[in-house]
Amino acid sequence: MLFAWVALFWSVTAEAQVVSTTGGEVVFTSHVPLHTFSGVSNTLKGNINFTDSSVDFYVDLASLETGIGKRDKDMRTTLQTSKYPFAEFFGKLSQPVDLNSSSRQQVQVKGKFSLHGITKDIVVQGSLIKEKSGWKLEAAWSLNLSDYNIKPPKLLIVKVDEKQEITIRAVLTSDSK
Amino acid sequence: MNLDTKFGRLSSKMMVFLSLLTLVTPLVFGQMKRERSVEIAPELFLAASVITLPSTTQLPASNMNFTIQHAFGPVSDGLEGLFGLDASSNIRFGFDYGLTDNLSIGIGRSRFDKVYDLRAKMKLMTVGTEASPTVISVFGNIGVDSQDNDLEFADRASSHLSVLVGHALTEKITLQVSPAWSHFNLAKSNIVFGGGVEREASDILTLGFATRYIITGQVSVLAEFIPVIGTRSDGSENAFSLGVDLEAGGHVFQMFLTSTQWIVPQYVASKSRDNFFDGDFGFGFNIHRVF
Repeated sequence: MLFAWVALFWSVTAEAQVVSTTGGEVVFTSHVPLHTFSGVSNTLKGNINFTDSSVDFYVDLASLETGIGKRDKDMRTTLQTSKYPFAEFFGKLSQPVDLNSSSRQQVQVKGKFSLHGITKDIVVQGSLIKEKSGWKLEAAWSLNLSDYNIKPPKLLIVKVDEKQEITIRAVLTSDSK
Repeated sequence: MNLDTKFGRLSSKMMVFLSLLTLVTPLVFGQMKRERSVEIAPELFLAASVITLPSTTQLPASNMNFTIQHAFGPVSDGLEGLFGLDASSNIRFGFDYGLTDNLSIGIGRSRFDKVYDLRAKMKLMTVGTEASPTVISVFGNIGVDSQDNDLEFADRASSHLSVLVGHALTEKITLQVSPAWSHFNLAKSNIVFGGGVEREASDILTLGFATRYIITGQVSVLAEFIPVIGTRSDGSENAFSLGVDLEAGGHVFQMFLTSTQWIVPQYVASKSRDNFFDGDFGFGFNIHRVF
């Protein structure tokens, strides 16, 4: 009996099919009248556990770069990155993924997204493709800054649009640390 | 109670524990440990200059900074002269560009003496802790007087070299010390109104001090003092400035009272003639805009 439980525990932990990344890309796009700018980070970390369908991603918000140092600093101030350093998602795949298919699979994840100290339930649509290099993930959604108690910053007198478009891209492998 | 029964109860408890462990383990192991991927050192000063003194703040790579610096006449002119705004004022406008995160170059032009200046700043190192870093940089510039006169080009040139040592003393207080050498190829002699001659020094050593006190995330108080060490130009005084800077929408606005209308550092060292503490100071402002 004891052996059976040990075997079950081992099967859950050691044989979990987990793929992960430490260098995924996060892009946010902001709009102001007559102008659009993006911020990029290549330090997205996360994993997908195909055994229990859990999905866990986070990015250090201070790593986002818009191409203008002063704007990056303003952004860090607005997001209070020293107090709330991460944007993070933890949830579950809504449906199982066919681990043997090499065609693009549309996936949906439901879970909790945390930003600026506020956590919201969200649903994100994305896709997964199994390639030689690993599982290629793409997902996109949009968020409203006010939902996360973030006051949209002003560029001069022009206010940044409250709606932000978020895109993530990553290749997840079973050997990422 | 026999041993078999005891063992049976123990075994049952262990099964329950293992069952819970089996259920809980994926949840515990599922969420990754959060780790910072970058460290952002606090900015010692908001802009590339404290007021007239170059600061340790470095322009990031591929960023361009446009600066307008303005120093009006003496506040002691009173209401009749609108507290110095009617008097002759010095204006410098300039561009700086970040070649790398640690090296920037710039060019500017000042109204007084029609001075063009080429300048460069390089961050050499950052030491200390993330919360209390010390930044060491070098700054140099070459100035050229472009007034319409008979001077040879070499006689129009001046230069300045300084070491900038900035330190975040606390989360709110920044200090900077800047030993500097200023040089004029031609040390001019000026006939003083009422008789006599004043000679300008060719080589001037200064030891600049600056501080910033952060009031809020966007507003700070600034002060700088630039005493001359040793030989100095006749009639010159040590420059002192006191101001506030305000960060808003990608701009840094600096408003200050200063005892010098000169803006290029070697001219500040040589030609400042007023004493702040005698009430001889004027209003000025700088605007820095990063593109």
